Amino acid sequence: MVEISVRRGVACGFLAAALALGGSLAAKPAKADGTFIWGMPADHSILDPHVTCGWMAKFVNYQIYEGLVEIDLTSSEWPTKLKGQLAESWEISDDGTEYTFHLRAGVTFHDGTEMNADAVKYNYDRFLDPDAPHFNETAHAYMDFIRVIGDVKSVEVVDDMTIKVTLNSPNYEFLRTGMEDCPQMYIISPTALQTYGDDGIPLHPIGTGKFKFVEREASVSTTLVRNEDYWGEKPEIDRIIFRILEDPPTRVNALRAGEAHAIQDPPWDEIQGLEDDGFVITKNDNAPTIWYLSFNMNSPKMQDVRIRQAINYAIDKEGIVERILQGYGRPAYGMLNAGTYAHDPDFVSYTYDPDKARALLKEAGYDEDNRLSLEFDVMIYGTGELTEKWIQRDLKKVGIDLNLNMMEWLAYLDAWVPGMTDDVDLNEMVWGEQTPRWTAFGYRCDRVPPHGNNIGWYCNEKVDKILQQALETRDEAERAALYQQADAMAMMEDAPNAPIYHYYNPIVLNPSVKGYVNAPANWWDLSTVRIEE
Amino acid sequence: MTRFIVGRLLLVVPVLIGVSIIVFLLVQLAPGDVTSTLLGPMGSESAKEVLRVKMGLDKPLPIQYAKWLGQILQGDLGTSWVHKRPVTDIVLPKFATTALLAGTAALLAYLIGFLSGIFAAAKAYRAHDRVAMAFILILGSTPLYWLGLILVLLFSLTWRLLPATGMASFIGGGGVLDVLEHLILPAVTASLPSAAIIARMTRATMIETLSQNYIRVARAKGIRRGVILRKHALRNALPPIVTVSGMELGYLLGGVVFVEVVFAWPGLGFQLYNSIIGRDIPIVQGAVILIALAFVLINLFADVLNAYLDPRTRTAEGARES
Repeated sequence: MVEISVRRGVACGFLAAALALGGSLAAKPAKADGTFIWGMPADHSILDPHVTCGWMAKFVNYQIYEGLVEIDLTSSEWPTKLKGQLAESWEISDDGTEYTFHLRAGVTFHDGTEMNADAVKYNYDRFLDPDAPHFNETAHAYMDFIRVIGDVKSVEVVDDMTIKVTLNSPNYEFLRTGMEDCPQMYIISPTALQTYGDDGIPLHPIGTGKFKFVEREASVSTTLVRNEDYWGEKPEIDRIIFRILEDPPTRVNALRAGEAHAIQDPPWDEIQGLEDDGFVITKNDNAPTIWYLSFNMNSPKMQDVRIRQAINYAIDKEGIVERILQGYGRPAYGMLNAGTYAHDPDFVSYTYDPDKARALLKEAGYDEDNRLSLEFDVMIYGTGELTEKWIQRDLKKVGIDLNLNMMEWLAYLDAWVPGMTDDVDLNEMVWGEQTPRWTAFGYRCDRVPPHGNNIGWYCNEKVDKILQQALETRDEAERAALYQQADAMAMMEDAPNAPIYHYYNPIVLNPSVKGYVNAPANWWDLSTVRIEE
Repeated sequence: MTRFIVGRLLLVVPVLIGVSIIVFLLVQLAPGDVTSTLLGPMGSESAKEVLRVKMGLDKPLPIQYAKWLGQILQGDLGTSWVHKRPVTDIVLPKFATTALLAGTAALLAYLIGFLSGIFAAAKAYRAHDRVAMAFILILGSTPLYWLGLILVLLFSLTWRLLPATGMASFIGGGGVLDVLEHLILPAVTASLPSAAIIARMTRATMIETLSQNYIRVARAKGIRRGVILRKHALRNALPPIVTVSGMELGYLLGGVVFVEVVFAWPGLGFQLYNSIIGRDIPIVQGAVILIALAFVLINLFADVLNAYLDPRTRTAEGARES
């Protein structure tokens, strides 16, 4: 820390000298020729939607491909609304098991071929039908994760422009489940699949979306151009370039130098300075991102609910969002992230109360003389592990010694996915999807690894029952109430997690960028963007 | 001379085999499971097992190594796991980009290092020498990452003279002048540590040479100082400087990673950084082998140049061989 402040001091000195010599850091309009440059914080995964994962890949694919139905990201309003994309309309049978989609006529893929019911079926067969010649085992595994495999019984072409998907049991979250990032149920051109094969699609991603793929230079940039034959309203800009700018100061430099029009994940302590210099900061209070701790129900130390509650009471979340996030987030009290329609902003589980935490620990048999020591798996994700160290300090105050086991992100993911081993007491994740079913995945007894992300081995049959009831409830408001009931029950009775904060997804724009919508999502629709010099 | 070159070339082979074994083993020792990288965190255990067999990962290590080495010898560096493209398609163009940056930085380093070293040696132990050496030492010891950011802050963001990132402008760029403009800041940043080493090496060697008896004789004969420096001292001082310069170029090729990251220069170092984070092992292997090969060949070239400059080197070598 000392080293950083000395460096910063010297940098400030240089800056002062530079400004004194007649410079200025104020935002200047970026060059425009119809091209919009977006600075990404990490390279994206491959552009084959059925076998890819991650927000960056979803962001690029969102511009290239379309699904039957999609979340409307042209509005920043919460909760998000569904809109028909390749499906003009759809019906759900009374028993909630049959989804009939009426496809939009006159839609062509970027290669000029026609989008119809056969094309949709061909895509479903790729991950559902082991007998199909183009069956892809990896796609099958990905789809299994979001339960598409378990949900879907059959897919049937009714006529040229109608397709029917039959489910094994009633499920009113089916549409939203397919709109997430991991994987993405988009429709690829069957001709492209046949021509380029599984290995070729990532470099020849051909969908029906508003932008067409031009080229990808590994770890440098991905370029898209406007689809002049798009069936709906065409984008304002001609070209999008996603630039990979992993190093945070470099990302900020590119924005300041006018070499990127927008950047994602600005360093929190730079945001105020950028705003002061005339850059536009956008955020969304309902971004579906939640940062949380999971407790290992199999660890002997964590089996006492008083300890899990004590940890929830001991963490000063207000302090974290104010001091670390600089206000670009708010404390989280439940596991329904702020992006889902089921999120209840008024729900409060455990507020900061170190005395109560100490009392609960004492009841559980721990005090200053007999301190509790816990193993905490921590991911290294380029944020300096500030939140984790903050939590370590807070817990130390109430008598818990937290040992941070730091792991590089991908190694961490490898340890996280199979679920916590008995020698780990808690771990962390930052995630969130727009369907409340995602929260259910983290709670349900049948979603423990390898069948889902209930990595703390939590199981409460009462909670499961409500979650299943929610899945089978047609009315969205009633469904939301059930999800809230399940979340409150789990949090108050069992506290299997400690939600820390909801994140606001700040995006910084050059002042010449207009029309950008920071929707409540982790990817955005860039067709509304324009650049005014 | 031919015999000398052939002998040197033969020595390259065991070095490269050593490098290939280390690169191969490093991957085996890296944490995490390869198949979960490929299938994503959702890959089922059975799918992972199928993939392990398909990729030959179930075979003993020596067999995996032999197969891998065989492919590399045929110029096949494998397929990138992340990008699903041949590694050579990604790595070779990026190597050229890095070579442009490292080459320019090396030229700058030679120029700065050589001239300031000679200048300092000519005025050894006097104020000029001390000031020049102190200055070069400070610049050479500055962390590159930090120095790069400061240069961007001054020349790109404050005075708006030069671009801050990339190798060419994404809008309306791409010409030679555009690339040159983008090259200046990263090349200057990368050159400084090497310049410092070459300057100190040049200074030390020149001071040593200038204190030799034959130089004293030349001085006693009344030959002019400039002529002594150029004709008598410099040529004899060159071999160690050439060796160090060759090594510095090698280091630059593999060591401009931080400069590439700060300036988002799309080179091999930047790709390596990305691929290590993304655990794209075939690219990591290909990039490291390419850098090692370049390093060895550049040093070979420096050795040959030395043999040409100083016949004693190759005679000694020849004597040892026979």
